[in-house]
Amino acid sequence: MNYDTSLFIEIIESIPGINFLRSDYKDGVHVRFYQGLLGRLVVIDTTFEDLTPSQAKGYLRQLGLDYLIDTLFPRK
Amino acid sequence: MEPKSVKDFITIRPSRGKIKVSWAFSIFKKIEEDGRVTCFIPSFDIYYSVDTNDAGIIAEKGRTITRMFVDHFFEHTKSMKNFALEIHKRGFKARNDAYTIKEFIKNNVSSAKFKFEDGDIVDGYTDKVTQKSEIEVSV
Repeated sequence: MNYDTSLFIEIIESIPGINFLRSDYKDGVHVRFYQGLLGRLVVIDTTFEDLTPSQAKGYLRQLGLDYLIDTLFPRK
Repeated sequence: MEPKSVKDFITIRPSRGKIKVSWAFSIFKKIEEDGRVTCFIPSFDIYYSVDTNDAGIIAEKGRTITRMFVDHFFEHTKSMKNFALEIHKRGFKARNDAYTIKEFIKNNVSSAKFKFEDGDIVDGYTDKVTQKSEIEVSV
């Protein structure tokens, strides 16, 4: 099930240690740059209103927020 | 099953006071239940999605998003040091890598090709497509 992009952004930005760096737009593509918990640079594609599950889980891993994968995407 | 190998690279060439940055990257895709397509570029460690399985659109968005990644360093942070360290951390390696990276950190930029060494792909992604892009930047 897809995940609402703006809610996803609200959640990750509520977590201390996740730093929003800047947003960018080019040729119809919106992205936001973040620094994750371990300083990793993460590029998040916010072009669509929702993120695919694989996309959202990938971002959570990159940001160092693996623990949220089980709570935001509970197994059936 | 053996992991699929990826032959991605970034080349940097100083030219008449500017720097030409070229890169090749591989895109792997995964078709979701609703038809959306999740794409992953292992070398740049970037996920994105498209609402069609059209190879041209997948490739075009990949070019745009990798361009935005490169622009982030040359247009916004304006730092060769940060760019060199970031691609090094992502797995791109030059010949005489440590020496090359240290020279780039000191802004002694010479022509160099950084190859992506790690070919392991996340499970569930298929259909490798390789794309190339190039821009000229000032540092």
